[in-house]
Amino acid sequence: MISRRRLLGGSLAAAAGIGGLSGCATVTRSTDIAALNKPVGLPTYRRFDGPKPDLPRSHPLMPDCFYRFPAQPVRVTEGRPGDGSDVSGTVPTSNPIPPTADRNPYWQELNRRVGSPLELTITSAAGSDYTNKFATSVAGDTLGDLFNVDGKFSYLPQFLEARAQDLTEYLSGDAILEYPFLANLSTDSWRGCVFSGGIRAVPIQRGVMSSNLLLARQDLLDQVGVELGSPTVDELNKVAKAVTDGKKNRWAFAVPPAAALSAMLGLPNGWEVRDGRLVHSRELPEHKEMLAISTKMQADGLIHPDGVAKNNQKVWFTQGSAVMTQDTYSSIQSFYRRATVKTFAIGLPVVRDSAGKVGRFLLGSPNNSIAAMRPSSPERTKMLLRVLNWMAAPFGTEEYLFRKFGLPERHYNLKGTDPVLTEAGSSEVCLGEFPIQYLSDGGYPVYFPGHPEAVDVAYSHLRTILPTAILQPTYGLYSPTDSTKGKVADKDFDSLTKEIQLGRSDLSDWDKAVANWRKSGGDAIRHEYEEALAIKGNK
Amino acid sequence: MSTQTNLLATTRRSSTIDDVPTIPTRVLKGIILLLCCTVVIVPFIGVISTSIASQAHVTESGGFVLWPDSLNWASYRAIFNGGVVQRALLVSFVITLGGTLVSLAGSTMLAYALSRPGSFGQRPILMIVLFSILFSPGLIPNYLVVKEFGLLDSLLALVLPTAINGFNVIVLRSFFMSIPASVIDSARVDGAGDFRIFWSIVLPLSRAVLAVIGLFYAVGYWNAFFNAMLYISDTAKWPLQLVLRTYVINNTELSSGDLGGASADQLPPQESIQMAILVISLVPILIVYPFLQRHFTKGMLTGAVKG
Repeated sequence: MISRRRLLGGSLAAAAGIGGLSGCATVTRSTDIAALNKPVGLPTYRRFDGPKPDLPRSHPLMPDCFYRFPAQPVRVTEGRPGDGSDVSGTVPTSNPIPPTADRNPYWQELNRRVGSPLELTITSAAGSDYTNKFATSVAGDTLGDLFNVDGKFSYLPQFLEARAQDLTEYLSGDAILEYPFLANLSTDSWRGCVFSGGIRAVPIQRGVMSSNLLLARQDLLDQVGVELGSPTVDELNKVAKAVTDGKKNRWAFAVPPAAALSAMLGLPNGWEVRDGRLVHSRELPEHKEMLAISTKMQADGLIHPDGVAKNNQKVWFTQGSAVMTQDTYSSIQSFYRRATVKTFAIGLPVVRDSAGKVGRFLLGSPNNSIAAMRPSSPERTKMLLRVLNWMAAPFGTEEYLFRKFGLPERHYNLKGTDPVLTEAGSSEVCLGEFPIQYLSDGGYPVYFPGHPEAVDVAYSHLRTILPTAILQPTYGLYSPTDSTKGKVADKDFDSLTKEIQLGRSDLSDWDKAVANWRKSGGDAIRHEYEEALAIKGNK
Repeated sequence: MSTQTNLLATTRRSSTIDDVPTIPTRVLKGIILLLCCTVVIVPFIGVISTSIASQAHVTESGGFVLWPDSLNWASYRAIFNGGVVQRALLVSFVITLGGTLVSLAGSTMLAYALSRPGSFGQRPILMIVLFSILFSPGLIPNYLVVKEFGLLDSLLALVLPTAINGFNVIVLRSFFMSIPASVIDSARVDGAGDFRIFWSIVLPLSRAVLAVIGLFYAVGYWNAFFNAMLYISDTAKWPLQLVLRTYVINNTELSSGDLGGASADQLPPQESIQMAILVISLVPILIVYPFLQRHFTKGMLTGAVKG
């Protein structure tokens, strides 16, 4: 039965939130910026000598590009990583939740291959479902051995210090080479796993694939007879006007094309160091210019009528109600899967600034999220790392093929050398994204099964934009004020952006909002990040 | 005399509730009511139309069809093909029926005890009931209680934590207090015990309020999804509303496997499937309402005005 003390403790945890951890004597104080951002020796990167990509890597950030799945995937692990004991975990999923292990032959085979039964609590990633489940699981101590941590919640370093295993001694420097598939993950992605001077998680790496960009329905552009090419702001507007036809339920944009406009106007990726000082994008006149352009687009009826207020862009883009949308490279495969016409084709225009140069591309976070481990004995920690290493086996290996597509015939059939999921595969393997991918995963390749032409389109775009691409300079740094007030400020600015675009607020309101933000936390965040940058050194 | 005349004139001019409204007023009221009804009904028609529209029409209309050009039952066939929705529908029926019975049984017994003077611990228990109306324990303590009772991943977790609703108990108690004491006393003189009086006298006299409270509980159980999201990991035990939330509100794509193995090439458009799930979730409540409506006014008013 539940004890009175336990219930009271839970209630207090609910009242204080995870923020209550900051008052704990065993974790770093939230005002100690230096300790929270203390550098640590990052894991050594060693590229795994796996299947050779079909296209050359023209840039260090270029993901591996494959037209087809390698014909004979090689098994790259020996034995089973698990020790037979149960391994529990908490993970989100963006797909339908798969059947439980007792009704899921894929999961049963997964358990056999891992060598330990996986007991996963799977929750939808949409909305606040995972956040609510995570909070209750923290209070109920039911997170399990491994748990996905979705980025930015208050006092994250302190939470990880209190509830997660410090993996530094197992992964720092050459120690990681014992886990070759984890060592195959980029150094940038590991920087996002360092908190309070320790490696406290493993990255769920997405690399450049999670960056937002402008996607166009090339088939619709061809149908209308409009050439998009490599547009500047004016050219994009001209094309948008040419393809918009309200009577045919067709608009140029599903949502305001913020990523394209940011690149065209040379905006920073969040913060940027200018004259030795950090400046945020929202403080710059270019940002207001971007707002003015998107407001004009909305007023001219170029954006889907619900595009600003409601976000259903995937459906509109797939159905052809919108000719262009903003999404990630990794979304391309899901668009082809949802396509309702056989001619469906995606184009990725390289946008240019007013001088005609390739616009500065803003990279997304290298990681989708991170996964942490419950503190345990060194033996168990090593076993769990072996399991995570197995889950990170890269594209083209037999382990990867099983992980993403399951068993031949039951879960997938080969079309050429490309695995195509069956009905059972769609459900049991969770559309090829079984949620263990949120505990550990290999690098994300450019591979769109059945659509080699889309691989060429993505490769060509990446090759052009990567030399200009920039990562957030504050990535991998921690600001306590940003962690507590940043989300609220982002939400407020997002609301104001929508209000301005819909014509309910004036553009001049932006300046007032920025002034308020600076006073209520913006300047403190700037100061903390500057301090963190100063000690960043070799973090 | 002149004062009397003025009073008479004022009385003649002022309209009362019994007056027949003039024709322009009736027309105006009619137009306003028609507009209100249109605002309510059009989205319903859109939902139903989209659920039975063809792929081409859904695409052409931008995802929301106001009137279908042909009838296409593919979405309903796919849903009732033995997949996740059909199972969830069954779970929802079990929870709603079982939960409503448990709630009605618990609430009526508690309310009856609280309505009879001299019941053991009457005032402290009444205070606890009132306290539960004013203060909610919150997400995490609730989760801890459910976990410690071993109810995680059990359908009981969707019934027991919400089985007794303080507000409903107070309404029932007020109704029971309005039953004349003489009726109960005469039953007692005839030799009836407390349970006999409760079962044979009080409950039959309280059909109206039981219908209303039963409907409140049933609608509550039918619409609940949040507890299922927190407490139920096994998708086979998900109620329909959680499926609805996942596939409609969160816009997660249904796979052919979720639809009982329909061929991927023959899958109806996602929008049609989503709207069909929505229709299925609405129908049971829409069916139940008219049957209970006649009890509604009486049940609610009797419970509402007695202290």
